Amino acid sequence: MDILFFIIQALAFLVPILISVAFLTLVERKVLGYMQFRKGPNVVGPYGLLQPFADALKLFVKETLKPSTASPYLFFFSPLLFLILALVLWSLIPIPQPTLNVNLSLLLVLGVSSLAVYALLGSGWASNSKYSLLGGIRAVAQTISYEISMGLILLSILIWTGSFSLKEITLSQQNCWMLLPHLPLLFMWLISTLAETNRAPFDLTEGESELVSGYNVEYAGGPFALFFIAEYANIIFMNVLSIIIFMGGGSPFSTIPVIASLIISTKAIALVFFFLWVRASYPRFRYDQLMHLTWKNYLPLSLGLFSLTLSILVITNSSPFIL
Amino acid sequence: MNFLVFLTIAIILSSLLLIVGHFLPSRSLELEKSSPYECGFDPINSARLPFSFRFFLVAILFLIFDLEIALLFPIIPASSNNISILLPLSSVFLIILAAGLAYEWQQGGLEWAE
Amino acid sequence: MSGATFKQEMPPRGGYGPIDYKRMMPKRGPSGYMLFAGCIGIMSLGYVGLIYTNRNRRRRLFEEREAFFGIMPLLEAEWDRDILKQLQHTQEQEAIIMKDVPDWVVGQSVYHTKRWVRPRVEDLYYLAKSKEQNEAMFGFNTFV
Repeated sequence: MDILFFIIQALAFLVPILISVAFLTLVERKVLGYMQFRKGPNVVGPYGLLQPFADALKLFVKETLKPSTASPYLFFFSPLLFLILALVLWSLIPIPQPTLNVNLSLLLVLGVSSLAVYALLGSGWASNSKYSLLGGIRAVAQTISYEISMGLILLSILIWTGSFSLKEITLSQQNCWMLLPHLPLLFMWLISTLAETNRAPFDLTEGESELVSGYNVEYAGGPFALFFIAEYANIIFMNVLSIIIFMGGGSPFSTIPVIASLIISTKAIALVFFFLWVRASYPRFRYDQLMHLTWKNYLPLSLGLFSLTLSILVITNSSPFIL
Repeated sequence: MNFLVFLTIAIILSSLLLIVGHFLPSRSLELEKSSPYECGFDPINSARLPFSFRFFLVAILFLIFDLEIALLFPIIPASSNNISILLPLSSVFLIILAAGLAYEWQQGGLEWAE
Repeated sequence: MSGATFKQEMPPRGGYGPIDYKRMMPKRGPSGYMLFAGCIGIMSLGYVGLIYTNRNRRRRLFEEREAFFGIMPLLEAEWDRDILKQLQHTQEQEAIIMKDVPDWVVGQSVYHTKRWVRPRVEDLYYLAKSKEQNEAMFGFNTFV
């Protein structure tokens, strides 16, 4: 009986995420349009609100192809893996109570988001095409490079929290948001999440003028929609994670049920808008500039800032727990 | 247990979408549609190319630094134990790692690590 | 086309005027040093806040621990009562099972000493269902 309630709870959590991903596509197009001094789609429904459903209908009705020389099982299962990982990640976020209360949720988040690399690699290699292979390899190299700086930034935050649990991180920000003492880390984290989700200006893997949509060049229709949904779900997830880690996650009101969710959603929407704003503003990075950024700028800097925070913690004797 | 249930629900939901995507459309396979995309031409060489060496180097570097992060994780519960020994020990580890990164940088391993 | 006179678009007489192509960076906003100083200021404010928060958390933790130590005798008594109740339940079941075996003393201690030895979890729950055994031995786990 408990399991039945949990199934209903999980479905009530997952289905709105998929709907929000669908509307994020519309939000992106409209925001980009208004930033480029034009209106986005506004024909389909009132203010274009039915556009995502029209898009979904179109994508699912189009014919799905498979190149005759592609590896069959890997080609079929890579988008599935990507979407599964994107949905599983959502279960660990405390908004303000998580669906799965794991003691080490941040480690699980890091681990599962590292597994998404396999989906990129699989789809790039399995479609037997040079362009998708190149796109896949570049996407994988970019993703794994930025995961290192993400891990180090998280370490600097977790020192002050004392625990890997995301709820504990929320609770430790009641007085002071984590972004105030870690301002440079916030900037590096935001840009690392941009690069991690293959989002502009780091979207070489989908660079339309370069690689004709990179690792998902051979996908059409349904599987392409799955990649799209998974990518946008990852974007919203990374933004909510940034809110929880850096900006308090419903901070004065974390215990009041409805208001905390609304506050987290509002902050997440602001951060998503920032992502879209960055997409509209900057040209794409060159690939070696991207790698230079993470290996030569972010990695030493995050290592240094981690040493700084550790030193301040030890010198002022302010560890959160004492055994 | 709850995690497995959630995972199963995620798998079922994604499979549902995938199956809808595969069985809803009508199919008509033609030769041109099932050949790999290369801007309209026939593919020139085989697609299983050898890839550039720098990607391999990036993967090896990622392995090393990810292990470093995994070895740095125990500092977080260590700060509640004996805080006076925390800084010397962790700084030894961090110095060795930073020295490794500096050596790699100087030897050109990160040079358009591409 | 021959025969038709048309006006061709040519540059004006004397060429075009000077074109400014230089990058025009705005000379406004705080300088680099001021940004650095501002960042250090904000970071120190943040660190002060975090140190205050962590000290409060530590004080709270100690307070909760002291409260736990204060009512520890009552809690110990309650746990002892639970153990004795479960032990009685198990011994009754054991008496029923082993009633045909000659020379069987129910609840006989396996040790040579005469003092009270606290029974193990396995001794208390070895006749219960495996779900209850699991729960007793590993705690009530609602986590993953």
